[in-house]
Amino acid sequence: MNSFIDALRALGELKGTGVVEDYAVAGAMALVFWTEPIPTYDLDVLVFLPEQERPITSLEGIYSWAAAHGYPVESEHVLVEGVPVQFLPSHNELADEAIETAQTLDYEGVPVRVVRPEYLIALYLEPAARTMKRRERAAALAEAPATNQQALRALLERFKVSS
Amino acid sequence: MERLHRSKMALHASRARMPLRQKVAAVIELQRVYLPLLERHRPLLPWEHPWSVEP
Repeated sequence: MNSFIDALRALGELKGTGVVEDYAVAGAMALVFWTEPIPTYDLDVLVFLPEQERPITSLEGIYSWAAAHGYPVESEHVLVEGVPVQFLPSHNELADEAIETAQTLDYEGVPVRVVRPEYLIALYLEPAARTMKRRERAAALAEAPATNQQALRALLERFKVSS
Repeated sequence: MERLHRSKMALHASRARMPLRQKVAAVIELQRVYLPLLERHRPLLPWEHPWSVEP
């Protein structure tokens, strides 16, 4: 049987081999790292892709890497070691910073980059991403001890995201 | 009511303190519970299945 550790190791390899410049686990699984387990069915991963010549962002490099490892693609997800992973190219300055400031945590001896709680909240509250479920998650995360309240306020103000 | 709120907060806090591996095991268990319920409401997407991984 596959293991979650192998999936995290594969993400490290993705960065180590230059397929992506950097990555950070985001979404509900990132929240699990900072607070309590919640139901989620995939692993969202924000990525910085190497500079591309074409005007439209392409995940071709990731799909080639997946094919070389025998990882099947299911709709917009790559099944990495049994875990459906959605790779999300950074879409704005907030996501850029979320990747840059991600914290490297230890999962059973494997380093994994995880978006910090303040950035997760800001990403959840972005107008384009805002749903009732995400607002609830942002509210729960805002109360978590891992969240730096001062940093959160400053971040929401700087990116003009309302709570 | 206050006591109920306090108990719930304590439960959330204790779950948040669980070791990471235990939390991932809990997520996989939640998938096994929730996905069949979700399937009663709508067809599942191709990637919506319990992860076949060890935590």
